[in-house]
Amino acid sequence: MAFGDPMSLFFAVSSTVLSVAVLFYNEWYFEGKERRTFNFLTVGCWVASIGALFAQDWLVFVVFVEVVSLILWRMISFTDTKAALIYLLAQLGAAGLILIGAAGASLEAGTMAVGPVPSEWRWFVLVGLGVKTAFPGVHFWLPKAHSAAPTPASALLSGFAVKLGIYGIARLGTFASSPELLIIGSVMAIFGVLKALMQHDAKRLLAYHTVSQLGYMVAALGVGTLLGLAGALYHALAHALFKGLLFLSVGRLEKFYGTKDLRLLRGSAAWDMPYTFVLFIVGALAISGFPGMSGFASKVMIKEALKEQGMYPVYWVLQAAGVGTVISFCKLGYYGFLSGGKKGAIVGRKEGLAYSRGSFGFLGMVILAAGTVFLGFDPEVTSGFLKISMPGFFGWDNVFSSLLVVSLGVGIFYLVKDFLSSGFRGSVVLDGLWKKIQHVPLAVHFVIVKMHSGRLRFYLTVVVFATLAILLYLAKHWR
Amino acid sequence: MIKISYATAIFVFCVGLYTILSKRNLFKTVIGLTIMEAGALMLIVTAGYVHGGVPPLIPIEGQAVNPLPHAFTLTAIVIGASDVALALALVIKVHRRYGTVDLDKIRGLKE
Amino acid sequence: MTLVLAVVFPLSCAFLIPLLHLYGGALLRKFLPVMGLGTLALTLAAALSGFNDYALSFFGGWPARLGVVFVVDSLSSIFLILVAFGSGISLLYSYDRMGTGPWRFYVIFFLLQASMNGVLLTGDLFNMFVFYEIFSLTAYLLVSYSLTWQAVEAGLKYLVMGTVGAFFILLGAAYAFIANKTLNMAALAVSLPQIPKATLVVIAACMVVGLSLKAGAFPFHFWLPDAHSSALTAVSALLSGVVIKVSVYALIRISLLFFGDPLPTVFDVITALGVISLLGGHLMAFKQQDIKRLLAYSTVAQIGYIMIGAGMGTAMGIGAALFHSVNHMLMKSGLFMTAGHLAEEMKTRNISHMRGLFAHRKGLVLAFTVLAAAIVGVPPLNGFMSKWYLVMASVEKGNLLAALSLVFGTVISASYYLRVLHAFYAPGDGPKKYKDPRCPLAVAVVLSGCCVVLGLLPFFYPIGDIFAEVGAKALDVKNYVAAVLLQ
Repeated sequence: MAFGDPMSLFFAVSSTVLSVAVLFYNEWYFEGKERRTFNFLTVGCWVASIGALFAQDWLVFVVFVEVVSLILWRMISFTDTKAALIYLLAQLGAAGLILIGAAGASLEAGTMAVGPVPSEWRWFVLVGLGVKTAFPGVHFWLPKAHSAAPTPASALLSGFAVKLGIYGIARLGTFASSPELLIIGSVMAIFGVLKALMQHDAKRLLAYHTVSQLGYMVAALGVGTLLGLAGALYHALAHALFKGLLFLSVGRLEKFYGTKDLRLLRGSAAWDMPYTFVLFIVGALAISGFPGMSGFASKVMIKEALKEQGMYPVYWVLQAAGVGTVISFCKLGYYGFLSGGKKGAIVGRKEGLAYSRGSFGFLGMVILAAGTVFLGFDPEVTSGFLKISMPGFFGWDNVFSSLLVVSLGVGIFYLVKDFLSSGFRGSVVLDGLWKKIQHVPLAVHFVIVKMHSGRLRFYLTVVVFATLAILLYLAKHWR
Repeated sequence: MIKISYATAIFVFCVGLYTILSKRNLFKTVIGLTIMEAGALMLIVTAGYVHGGVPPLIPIEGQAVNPLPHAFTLTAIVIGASDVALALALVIKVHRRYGTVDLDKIRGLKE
Repeated sequence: MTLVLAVVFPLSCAFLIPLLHLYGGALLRKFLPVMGLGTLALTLAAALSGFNDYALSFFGGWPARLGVVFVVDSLSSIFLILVAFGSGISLLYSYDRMGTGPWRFYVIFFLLQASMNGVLLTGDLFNMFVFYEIFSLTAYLLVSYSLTWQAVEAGLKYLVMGTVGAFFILLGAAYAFIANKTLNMAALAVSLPQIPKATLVVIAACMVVGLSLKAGAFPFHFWLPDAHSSALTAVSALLSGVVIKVSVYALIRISLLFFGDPLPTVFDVITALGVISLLGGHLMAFKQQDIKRLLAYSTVAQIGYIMIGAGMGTAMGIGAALFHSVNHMLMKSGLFMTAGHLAEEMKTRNISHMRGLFAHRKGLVLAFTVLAAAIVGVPPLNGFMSKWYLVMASVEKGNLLAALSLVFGTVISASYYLRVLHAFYAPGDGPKKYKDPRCPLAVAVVLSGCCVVLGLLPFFYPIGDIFAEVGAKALDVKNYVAAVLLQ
């Protein structure tokens, strides 16, 4: 099953680093039996993801991806079984759709090797992978699952599980620009950021940001050039590291204060847990694309790819999404860590207390931060893997545009700071529509249930009518 | 002539089916089953008619028919009899529980 | 000779048991395992004799058109193996549960065995009807054996509906006889294409309705939830796992032999029935609170899967249907035995009351988890593999509705099986009445082991191809006819 392909190796590296960091974090977050179970599940997740990445055909890929989903379901169900159920059902449905596409591919092309798929079956595989990558419309499982999960599981989910979908789309693609992916990617980027701005649950905010960053990756894949592909992959790796870092630091907030609701947090974490605050800043800078961090390098690659092909509308959409990202991370940082000021700090409780349960937890986060910074300062190191010529990263125009985005975001945040503090949830219209759509299958269900009334004569009448129907059908369609 | 026999057999089958569907009394359902069976078997027996059939050793015209359907019918009658016997036993047991043989009231197991 | 023995041996065992009982219970206790193993061995021998090449047995030496012939080809042999193992497991379980006290149960059991073998072996339409009726009658008896009011009511409804179905089959057989003056299946396969289409349509409708009714397809399945949930646990496992498959075999055999060429729309009807059963079964199971009723509706849905495969009419489709039949027998027998045992221990069949089981009956609950995961279609277990073959077959035929409904079925069944697992793993008091769990545990562990093995095997060994070959041989009507008629 070995695949010497650099794409698989690239994802495998990100999976490995993230799993190791999470294993370390588990030492701090859980205790006793739960910790052992979680470590076991994390290792299992890593093994299955390696299997998925090195699979030679779509069937084996689906098998391993479903095993990953099962393991993550088990992890999520430790804290919230309903969200876990929705997650599992969405993943099973997605895997089934990919299977249909793979079956079609094997029958038309004679092979199921992981690669481009003949046209009409491509839609099945694309929609299946799209559910896994949270395309808008089928993204409903992601916010619930990622926020309800215990923090290490959230890190694995956002950091790695959704990347398997990106890997699949990357494998699926050919080198031609794909307008559907570009549109979906831009919509995802803006949609994710807008929903994130509305959240008051810290982990839900991060989950919507995952949607937004996935939008960057999907758009990059949609460009169709080698640079775009490289940008998507690099962003996948960078995102795994910095999103993992962000989730783990929010996890420390959650464990320390007992809540992840931004309206309830004291906002004094910058003084209570200074080291965590520094690591959080590293992650926030990375996701905002601050020069010198991994997010900057990958966003530069993506933007260069777009500019090369002249796809300026998508470029500006992504820039706008970048501004939104900065705004919401300012919100998270401010309300999570800064707003209480030094006066609100819990006197006497120092981060040192957390150290007493082993500093391994901290070590995990440090690994991720180090990776982020390293990739940021020296992006050329991956050129050997990706085999392309990198654009000039630290050229003046790139640095300028990212700094512009960051400062614009910070500025707007200061202006609308109080407006964002309450956090509101929109989309009432969609909820109403969803309830109306549910009436039809519920009505069918009700009718079917009432048919089983226990009346023998009714059953036999149904049998006779069905016989007549079959008779008429066969009579009409005999050949 | 044969056609009328076929039509009669189908008619009897349908009468049996109608009995099962429309009568509420369980005994009438069992009777309906018997009628249905009778109809189907009549069909088979009629099918065995041979025009101008001649018995093997003594050639008397029009006095022999295919004996195979008769064998089948006898077998099927035996099967039908055991069916009805089992049905009646179960009807008695159901009556002990429900106190009635009205099918619309025997609805303990539903949904 | 083995073919005849596969029917005669269980039949004579059934008649011997009352005699043995008369001479004292100890004698019966000694002979019952012998009888069970003997039946198993003979059925397997009959299966293996016909697996590669046709095995025939002419009664009284009369050639096919004049007498009754027993035929085994690869399609029959797969089902014979299925029946042998399924009945063996059930017999073991009921022997452990009840001992040999209820000797009448074993009489009926062996009669059921004999008649199932008869249906699978015979090559004559009326002979098949006779054996079909015997096995239906014994099934009605087994359902109502425990004489609880639910069992009796379920048995009565099963009887009435089943008899109506049997009379439809009789009507179809009568029409076939009228049109062709012969009842040998191979001879009918030759002469049916020549009869007027109207008669062929009526025969097809009658046969499909009658056989689908016994197999438990949606508009005809109303007896199934009552019967399979009210019966004793061993009987439920037997019914859901084995008895239904015999009707499925009869459906596949008859539609391939008689309607393969002249009336291919029959296969569309079977696929449509399959899709409707799938949706109806899963939707009903979703709402159930009673665990055995939930498993029974799940059976309806799984029969839908099998009928989708059979209705494709291609080698791959029939192979997938066969593979799923075998898998379903393993999974459903295990699920019924585990769930039935747990329900008896908890003194309730209501799922939300069956809590705390994981702490007290870890092995059984773990086996149930594996089996439930298998039936939902989670990799790398056997349910996933058979679902994959079914999807391949539907895609090959171009039937996207069937493929999508298979995916939908996975999602829905995951939700209701998860509900059951949630209850089992929830904290609670555990069993209220102790029943020795060793036998169900052993059986469940063996069956879940089989699920895992069959799930991983297709990656190393072309199981799919083997089943597709069996399907291709089943489609090969000419060969069958040649083998039977030209002897």
